[in-house]
Amino acid sequence: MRRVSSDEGLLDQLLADGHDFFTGVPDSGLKRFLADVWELPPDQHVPATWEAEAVGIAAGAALAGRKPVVYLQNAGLGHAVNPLASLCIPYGIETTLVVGHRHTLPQHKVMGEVDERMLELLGWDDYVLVEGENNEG
Amino acid sequence: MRARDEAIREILERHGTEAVYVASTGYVSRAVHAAAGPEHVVLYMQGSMGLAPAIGLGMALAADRPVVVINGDASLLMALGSTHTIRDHAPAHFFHYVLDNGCHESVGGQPSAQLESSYPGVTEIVRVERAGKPPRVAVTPEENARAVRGALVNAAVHGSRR
Repeated sequence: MRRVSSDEGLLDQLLADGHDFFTGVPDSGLKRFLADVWELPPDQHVPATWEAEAVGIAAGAALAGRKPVVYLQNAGLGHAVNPLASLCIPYGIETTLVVGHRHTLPQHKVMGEVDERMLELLGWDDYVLVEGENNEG
Repeated sequence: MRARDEAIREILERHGTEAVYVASTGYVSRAVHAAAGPEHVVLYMQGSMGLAPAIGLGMALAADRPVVVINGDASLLMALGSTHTIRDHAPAHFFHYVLDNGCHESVGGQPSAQLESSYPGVTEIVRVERAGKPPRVAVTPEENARAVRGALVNAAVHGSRR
């Protein structure tokens, strides 16, 4: 796991680490990262309709030899929990989560406090938590 | 209305041993396991309810080999958004069958919501009879993942570099 304060340059770091497949559901806290992701060729990026689907798509790509990344906001972590617990962990399938760490607005406070602990409880340490949060306006 | 096991055998015959299969949770995985031979490569997706089409899509995008998803009706409804992701992104070598028995048979046969006659991203809906409980899938998730990886790695399509 790691916490970063900004998503600036994050895609380049992930590509340099060998990641070659991206899927997920957007978050305003990941705007710069996602602007870069949307420039990727279509064989490297598939937007999903919800976070569980994204983990499923990533798992399929991983089984075919890709090194995937799933991007999501922490509000979507609940949707990702079942496929992490019942697919990725028992089948030994790896995927890196890039999580927008929302935590200030009332609807984000609870998940903002427990997101990392939830992942720790699951035993999932392959994630990047992006602390920058976009709450303007 | 078809017999479930006959419908599964027909799908296996139609796509043969060239395809990699993804079987949905519960009785679908059990019934496919009972019908498939050792020459078939099948991911028995015992967890992650509803996600067989998503997993199959990821495989098909990353490997140049036919991928055949065998889903259930309630599993389709659980993750209906995937039908649109498939419509927009699936390659021509991706196939998605739905066995529609109108109920959650694996967990007690409780009725499920009725399907429409067609969906984007679904190759065919096959109405099947309830057919009872096949034996458990006799393969561990680790062994299963190893076999599927082995079959897909030779067909892997690497992403283009920027």
